Amino acid sequence: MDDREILKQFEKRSETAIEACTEKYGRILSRIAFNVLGSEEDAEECVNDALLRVWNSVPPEAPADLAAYLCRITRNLSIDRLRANKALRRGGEILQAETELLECLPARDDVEQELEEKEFTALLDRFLEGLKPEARKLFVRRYWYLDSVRQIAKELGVGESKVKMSLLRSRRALREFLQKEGIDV
Amino acid sequence: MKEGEMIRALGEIRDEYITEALPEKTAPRRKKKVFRWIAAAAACLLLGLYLWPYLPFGRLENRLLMAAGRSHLLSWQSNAQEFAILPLGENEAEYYRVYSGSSGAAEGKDLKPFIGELYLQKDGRSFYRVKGLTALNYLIGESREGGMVLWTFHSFCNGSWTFGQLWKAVYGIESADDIKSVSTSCFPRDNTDSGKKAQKSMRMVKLTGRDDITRFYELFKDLNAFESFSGLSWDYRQTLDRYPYSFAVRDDAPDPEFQEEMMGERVLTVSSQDGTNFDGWIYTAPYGLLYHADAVSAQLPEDKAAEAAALLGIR
Repeated sequence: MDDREILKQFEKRSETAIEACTEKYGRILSRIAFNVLGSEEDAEECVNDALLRVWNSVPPEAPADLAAYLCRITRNLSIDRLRANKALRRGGEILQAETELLECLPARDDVEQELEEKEFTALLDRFLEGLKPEARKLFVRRYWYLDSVRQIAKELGVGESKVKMSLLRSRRALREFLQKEGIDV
Repeated sequence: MKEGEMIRALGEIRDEYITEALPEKTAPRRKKKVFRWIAAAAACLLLGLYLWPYLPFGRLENRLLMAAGRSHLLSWQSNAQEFAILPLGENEAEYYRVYSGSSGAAEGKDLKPFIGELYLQKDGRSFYRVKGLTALNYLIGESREGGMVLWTFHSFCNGSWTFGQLWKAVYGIESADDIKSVSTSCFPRDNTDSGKKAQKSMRMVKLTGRDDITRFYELFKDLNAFESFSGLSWDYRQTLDRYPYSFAVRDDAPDPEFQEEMMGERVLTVSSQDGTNFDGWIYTAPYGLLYHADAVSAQLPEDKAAEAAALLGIR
């Protein structure tokens, strides 16, 4: 079933929509949740919560990109759950990913006042727009999907060193980009 | 911005970047039934071939990993989700728990037949040697939750050490006489069509002569190594001079630099006299560096790097 048909099923309030989402996107949603939470049980519950959230929000919402919509909700719910569980110490890839990204962050405490989160996301969008597609894909796989370097390398059929190198370059580029945007790094 | 909000802010990037990087094609593809049967038959054949080494007469390491629930047919990982710091030789070593499957929740119920002598007790937990394995690259011990699981040596914890010290402490290799052979294989980092053709042209060797093995051991035993996380070894590498080795990269290489990097590298498998294989060593000739897990060596001087490259069939 294609995404347009799935959305129609949501509009009709047909549970077929949930079944279709599970069949089509269940694996990737579970993977995102597991990457964040490091627990299969928690991940499964998160995916169920995400599907319920979509059921309750569509309609009235009509996402233009169902895959991204589902993935984003799952990711956000998983992060919420991780924090709620106070499980950061036991977290999976998210801890490593955060550590790697922290080097790009300004050290000042008042940055939050300078830049609202939406503005910061807009900056990230502009940064990603400037990356080459391959580098962007690796960056998003690592820091959005929170896949491990090994997993990315394996699935893309490249060496781990190439993935690490690309991520290193992208992080450096992000740091420079933020500096140019006036963020005091 | 607080820690963690970077990840959160990144979560709101444009949809197009998310779908562009989708890890897998999620839509199931419809295939004709005949192809399904052929695929099923091929899968059975591959499964049979795959399971061959795990039968009772297979390699101990393979049987051990199978018992721990780790299978190459499944996604697996031995990462730092749970690790243990244990004394090893004159140093302390970091052991990673071997996980299996996407759940990462394998309990080594079948590990019982592999439990050997008690290696040590730490923090109320017991760690055992693997029966029949003299090396300490694997241990069987209690997980945080209490079940018996498999642990694998990752690296020494701090400071620097030599590969000779590592070989001795982990693998019981105290001299060249303890090594039976050293084999090279390709690190297939370039999986493009061009890269695969390039791999076929690369020369692989198996060192079995005592002189060659002694040269190999002498070249690397005193080489210092240190642990390097998350790509820092690449930062370090960039500070080094690249030795002037060039390789005949194919004309159709989409990324010549990347392909050349592959051609200058070899994965090394060291076999001890008792027939145990120790994998996971990577030598890169243009930089004269030896990698093991997250450890990277100091740079071999140019003359010794040339000798190593010649010995390992890289040049």
